[in-house]
Amino acid sequence: MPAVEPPEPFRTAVRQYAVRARTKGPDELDRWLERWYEPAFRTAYLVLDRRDDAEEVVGQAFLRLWRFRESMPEGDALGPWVYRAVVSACSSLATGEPGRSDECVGEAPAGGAVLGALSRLPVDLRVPVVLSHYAGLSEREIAVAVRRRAGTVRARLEEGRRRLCADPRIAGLSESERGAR
Amino acid sequence: MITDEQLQRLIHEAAEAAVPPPAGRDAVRSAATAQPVPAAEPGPARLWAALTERWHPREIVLAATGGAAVVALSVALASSGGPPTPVPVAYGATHVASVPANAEVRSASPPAGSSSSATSAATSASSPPGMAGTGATKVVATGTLILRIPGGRLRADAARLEALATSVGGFVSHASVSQAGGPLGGVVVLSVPAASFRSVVARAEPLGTVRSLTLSDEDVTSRYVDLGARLSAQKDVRAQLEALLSRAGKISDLLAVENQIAATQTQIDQLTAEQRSLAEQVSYSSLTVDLHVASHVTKRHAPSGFSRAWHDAVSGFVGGVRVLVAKSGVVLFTVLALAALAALVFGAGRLAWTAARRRSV
Repeated sequence: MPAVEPPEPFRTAVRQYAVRARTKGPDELDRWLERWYEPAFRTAYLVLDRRDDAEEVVGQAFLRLWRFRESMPEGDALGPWVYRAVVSACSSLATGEPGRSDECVGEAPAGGAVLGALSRLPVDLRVPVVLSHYAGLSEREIAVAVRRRAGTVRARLEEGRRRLCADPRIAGLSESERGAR
Repeated sequence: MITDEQLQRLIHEAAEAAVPPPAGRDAVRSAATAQPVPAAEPGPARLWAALTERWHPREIVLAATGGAAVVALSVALASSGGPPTPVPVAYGATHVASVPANAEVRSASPPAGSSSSATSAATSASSPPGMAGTGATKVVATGTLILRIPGGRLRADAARLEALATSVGGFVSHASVSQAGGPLGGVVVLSVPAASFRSVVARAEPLGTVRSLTLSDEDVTSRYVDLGARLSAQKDVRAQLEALLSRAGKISDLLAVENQIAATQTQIDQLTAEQRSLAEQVSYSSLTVDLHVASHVTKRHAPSGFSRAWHDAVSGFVGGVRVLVAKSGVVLFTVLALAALAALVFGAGRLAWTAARRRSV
């Protein structure tokens, strides 16, 4: 009985996987950090409104991703995974406590106002707004990141946006912007 | 009102104001290089990680609870035996359940000291006929066969049954035919050798349409042994009395011993007769054939299609109500237990999940 050979695509995929697993060394981590550390940190900062917590969260997120580096995609495809890990860590820290936006971003009053308004949003509304308006993720990608349905994400986005726009600080910024023009 | 683009720009500005710590990357790099190569996670942990990658833990817990509820309910229903079988109702039979014609006979030898009966319509005999009256086991086999025969064949069929009994060395112990007043029919009781009992049943069935057949095997081994022991004891007593008789000196003693011998002999005769009767019952099996003329049977008892459908519907309804009443207790208990379990699991899972979220990323 002739030996049954596995199909070529399967062998190729296994070979590529093995090569990729072997080659994901420190250089790969450097590439990850170079590309994603800054947006990840800022996302965490927008959600948590605390610099120390954001740094800690991003560090944990990258370490977790690095643990599963063999199964992580490469290039821009890693982005949703980074945001997912960051959001996952943020959700446990962002417990709705009042933020310290004024003291942290004292040099940028507009940013402080936005952070203050964001920190007053519930976490469930804050995270989709940040992922959508800062990270630029689509509703479907946000749904994957926060592990909710797309419809839920859409509703939360709408509600978060409505509350932000109704916030007097944001509204004041808008007025001053028009006045400046 | 602020526009979406303005909001986006403000958020970007706020984010840009946050400068990442310069040492943040190095900290991650050093922590990653110091991180040991992860060992293969245990199966449950890996499974849980794979599941949580795809579904929310709450969804997993709910799905698992639902699955457990379905499994528990299935097990509860299966263990309680399922819906009860409707009891067959006799149409025209007086003492046995009516069964469909051409069904298989099921008869089992009873345990010692007990009797059993198998009621069924029959086309063939399946239990070994040689069991009756042979070897150490003494079995009295009896049967009742209800046949529906065409009109005008009553006497002819009675004669055929008699010929059937005599052909195997048996005889007709009772025969009666009633034509006036009551329903037209007859009863023929055949006594046939036990070894030929099942073959006689099989040969009697084609004489008409089988309405029902009852076969009964009664194990009389213990009675037979008991009779033999008592008989042996009485014979010993009689022998001792005869020895005393030879040594009796006075007339009064002689008369007393003779009276005792007479009483003992009477008991011996009774026991012997009883043993002989039992042996005859064992060696000769009795088959009671109840002959019903078709027109009368049909007229009085055979239900119409609508009647049978109505009867089946009522029977099914009663059976369904019985099932509901019987299962409601089990279902209620199962639901309550599962609700408590689900609440417990959900609470524990929520606590564990919250703790895990705080610890891990």
